[in-house]
Amino acid sequence: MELLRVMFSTVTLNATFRMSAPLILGIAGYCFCRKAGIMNIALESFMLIAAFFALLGSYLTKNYMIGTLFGVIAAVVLAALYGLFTFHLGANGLITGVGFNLSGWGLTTMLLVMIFHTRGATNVGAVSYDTIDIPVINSIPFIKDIFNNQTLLVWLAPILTIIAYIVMYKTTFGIRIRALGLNPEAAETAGVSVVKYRWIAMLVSGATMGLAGAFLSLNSLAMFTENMSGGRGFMVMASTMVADGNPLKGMLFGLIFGYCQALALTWSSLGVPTQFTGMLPYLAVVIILFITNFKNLKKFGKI
Amino acid sequence: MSENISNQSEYVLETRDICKFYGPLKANDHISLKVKRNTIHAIVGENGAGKSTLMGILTDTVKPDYGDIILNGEKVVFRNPMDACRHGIGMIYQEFMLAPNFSVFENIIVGFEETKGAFVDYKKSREKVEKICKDYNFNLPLDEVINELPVAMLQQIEIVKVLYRGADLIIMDEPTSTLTPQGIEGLFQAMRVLKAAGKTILFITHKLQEVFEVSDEITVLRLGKYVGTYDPKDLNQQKLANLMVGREVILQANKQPGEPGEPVLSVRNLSVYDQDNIQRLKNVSFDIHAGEILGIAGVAGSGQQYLSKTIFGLSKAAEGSKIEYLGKDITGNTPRENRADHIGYVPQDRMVMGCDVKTSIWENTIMGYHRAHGFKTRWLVDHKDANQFTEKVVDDFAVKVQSINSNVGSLSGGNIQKLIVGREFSQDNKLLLIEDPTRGIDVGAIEYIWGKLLEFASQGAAVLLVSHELNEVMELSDRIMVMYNGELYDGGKYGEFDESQLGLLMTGGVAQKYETIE
Amino acid sequence: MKPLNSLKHFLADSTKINVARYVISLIATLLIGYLLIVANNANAGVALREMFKGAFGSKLAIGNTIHWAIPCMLVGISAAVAFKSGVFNLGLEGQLYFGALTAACVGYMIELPPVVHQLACIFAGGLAGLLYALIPALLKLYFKIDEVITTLLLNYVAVLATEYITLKLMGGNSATSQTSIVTPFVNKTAELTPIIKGTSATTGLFLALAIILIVYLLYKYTLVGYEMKMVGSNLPFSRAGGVDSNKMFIIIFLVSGFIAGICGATEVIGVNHRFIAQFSANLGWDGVMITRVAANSPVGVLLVSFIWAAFKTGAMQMERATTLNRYTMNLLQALFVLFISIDYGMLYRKYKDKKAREAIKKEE
Repeated sequence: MELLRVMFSTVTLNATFRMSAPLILGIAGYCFCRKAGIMNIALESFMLIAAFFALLGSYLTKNYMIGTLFGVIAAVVLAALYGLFTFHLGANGLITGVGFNLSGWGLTTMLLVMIFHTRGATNVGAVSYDTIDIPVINSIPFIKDIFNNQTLLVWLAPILTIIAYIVMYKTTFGIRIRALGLNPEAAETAGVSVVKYRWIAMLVSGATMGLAGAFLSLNSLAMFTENMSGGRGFMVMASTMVADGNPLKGMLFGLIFGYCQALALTWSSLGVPTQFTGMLPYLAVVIILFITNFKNLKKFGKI
Repeated sequence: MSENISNQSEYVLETRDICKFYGPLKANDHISLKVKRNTIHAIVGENGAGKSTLMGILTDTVKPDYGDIILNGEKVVFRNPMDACRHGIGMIYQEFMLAPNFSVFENIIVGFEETKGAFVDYKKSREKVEKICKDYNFNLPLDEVINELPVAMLQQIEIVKVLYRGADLIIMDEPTSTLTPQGIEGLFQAMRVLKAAGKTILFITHKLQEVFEVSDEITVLRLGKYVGTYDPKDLNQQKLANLMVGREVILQANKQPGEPGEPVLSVRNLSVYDQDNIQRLKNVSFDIHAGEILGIAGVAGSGQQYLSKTIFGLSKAAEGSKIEYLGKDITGNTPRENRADHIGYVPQDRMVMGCDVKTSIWENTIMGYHRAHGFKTRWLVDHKDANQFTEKVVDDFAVKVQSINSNVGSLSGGNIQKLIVGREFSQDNKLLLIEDPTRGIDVGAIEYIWGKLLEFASQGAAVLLVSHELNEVMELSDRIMVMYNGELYDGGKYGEFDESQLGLLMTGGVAQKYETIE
Repeated sequence: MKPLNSLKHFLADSTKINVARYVISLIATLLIGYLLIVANNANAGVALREMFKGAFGSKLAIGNTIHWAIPCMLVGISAAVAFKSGVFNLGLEGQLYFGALTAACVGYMIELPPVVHQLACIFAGGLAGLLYALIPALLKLYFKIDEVITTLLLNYVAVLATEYITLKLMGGNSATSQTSIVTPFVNKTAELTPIIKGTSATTGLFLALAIILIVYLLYKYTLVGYEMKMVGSNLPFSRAGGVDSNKMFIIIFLVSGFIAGICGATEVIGVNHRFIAQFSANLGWDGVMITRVAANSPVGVLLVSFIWAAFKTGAMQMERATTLNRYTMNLLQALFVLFISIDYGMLYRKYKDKKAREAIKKEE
């Protein structure tokens, strides 16, 4: 009963808002890739490496903004490398993705041991994000428990989503990128350079994955542990897939998966094994994929 | 104003010595033609006459090897397709270049949006589109998603799209191929409206009736060369067909027509819809008898590729169709079942469906054989048997190989084709579905394959020969049928009709629709 | 005509390009490795020597190398079966976990005579891996859900689910700390015998070799193997030849999952003798890398697995003797795979085409 009650408690909702931020940030950028017809499983490594470099930047400069910049730059560089491999060097996207993810794991653990002499860096003296106290919200009961005292990036997530939505549906860039994903040949004959727009989408998704990574390491505790992205990159991919690249729908799925993570957190505090609660977000993704693709059963066997 | 017009040359477009070679193949061989301003100019020619390459060059999707394009009296060199577009050349492709899930309006403006900074100025774009629709009398549901719209509507969208981009010269590639008769009438109406508004239209087709209905001038291309430009008043369909298909016959198969035996394959009311739900075969019925070669002639895209694919089980036949093989209903059977029933298949696209270039010759040769005949056990590859069979095919069909273990990709095109044909011929198949057995291979290999095909049929097998080479169909077939627009027409027995009569049928000339005598 | 010609060029050059692929990748990786060593103020010669010593320097070292080669071979061949046929089973890690846990359960819950018990554990592990692979396979076949995304996510589910089940088997609760989540030890009858004393180089080696041999024979002599290979090489051609591609897809996915499950089982009964939560350090992913480097060939998997294992054990020794840490090796291995996956043939053809076009222009 207690378990049911906390499902809608402010603690859970507050955590939902917070936990979904990295997913939503990632989705806001990856939507453009999805619309442009790029599948990228290397997102996981973008996030992981960005998380590490954000921590490193913050540790070196004692400034979380510069830390964030470090993270974003790292992820954009990775995105550029990934683009180079898959667009120009003819490498298979999946193998390249696996290679990136494993390189990301190897690189971060190597640097972690090299620089911090540990496999899980906490309290190394990096600066984490400040929480924001918002004048009006902080006086409304209930609401203040959920939304007040969140950090900058938590608020940036919905803002970026709205910007992504406007760019996607109101600008020439958006209409062109949507057109080229639906029919690249038609876009090319309409004078839209497919390679150019794919590159832009790639780099944009790198940048927002960078923010997502920075959030992981610099929100609240300022820490980095081995493999800390823990499949969030794949969740970003799956959410965007289900939302078919619509940033607002993507945010909705991001919130659902964030909610599962938050619930896992509150349930564990009530004594439910973390192993069980930890499965929830991943299972939620698979179940949502199943529900949204159920209609395909009719098509089975058609040539 | 009047001075301005007189400054403009009489011709809106002129090409001088345009050449495009693909290796030894001369797709465009010094093509020089002139298109008068404000006319509907038809370009006709058979498959492989070089029409598509020429249009590709005009829209800069293909780079010419040589030659000049003169637009409005000035020589132009396009930097990219967009540049051609800015020069006022608009192309409407046979496969519509539209983005699914997009609205009609979005499809029209994408790539050429009216803008306010980085934003799309939807209002201004919309006014522009609406004005065009009004001026040219198009009635389009601008806000509907295109997926469910009829083909004729999609074509109008394409026309509005090129007008929106300010095209003066509009190229239409086979625009009637997917339209219903009413749709075609509507298209012609639209073409006349465009002409009245001062546009010039290049109309590519191989359907001759249409040519006479709308065009002011006709240019004929043949085998990559320019034949001539004619006034429709000086020609009739027969003369035009001769200009198109007329050629020397280099090869003769020396066929001895035989007596056909029992029916092997009976097809009744076969209809096929493609993935876009367009009907590609319309109630087709025919029989093939043992020892008989039935040739299907027709220009590309008339539906013939669906015929063999569907009989073989690679496409789905529509409700009500019936395919009977040796008295057994095989409608809806899988290729695997058909293989086991001794039905062979030589696909048109030999590099994709006919073989696998990355694996060895013997592995390619036993494909199909391993199901139709099987080896000693159902589970193991009998290498001795496989090698023997491969050696037999290689020897019987004079395939030049270094070793049967080398990759198929190391063989020349002619040898690959001999190998594929040999594989199907050597499996005592009772029915063979064969598409373009000699496309793109040298004369020696063609003669060889022809000889083998005749020999194969004379041993009592039934053959369905689908070919885009009219000459091939005429030389080899006991009976000829012509496919036009998804329907079959009687093309007579061997030697009954001559080339020009068949050419007329292929391009939609009047003929008796083929009916099976029950 | 043109594509034909360029294809011929390509195939004539294909051997050269394949050699170039490995040479270029190796040089690039060594270069980066050298830079990393310099950045760590270490001596490249010493690092290499220590690595070699760690992998082959003593009987113990060789034993350790063989110990790592066993799972590498198994997971590598499992990945090869899938990737050779174009099935993107990225869920090896998850299938391996379920195989391991099931083998552990069979190992400690059931009493059986020695050899039978080992085989029962291995078979049960394989079966568990197979069943876990069935989920994404069916989702793909019936609902067209991309197997890439489902297998990736199901890996995380598997790691946590096996941990949770172990916790329940222990009768524990959430208070137990993570490192001690283990099943009881398996019975002695279920343990694989070491072939080199004092190491975990067990008879599992023969099992791994046998499975590689079976897969090799499968491709070489059986019709199923022939069809599996052809489906991966050219799907439309195989369909026209009468191969049932849906059936092949399921078979391939399940075989791959079965072998991955066996890999988990041998880790349990050969090395740890019990299931330890989160025991596999990206072992499943090693499989993907190994098969990529081995170009999906069984013999290649055998060779690359030993190299991979040597890297693993050598890196440990290198870490002890120099300032470099062993994760450097992980990074270099992944980078090597990235360089390998570049399509050198395509780049070469592009270069040739460009030259040919320039030649034509000059002529005109």
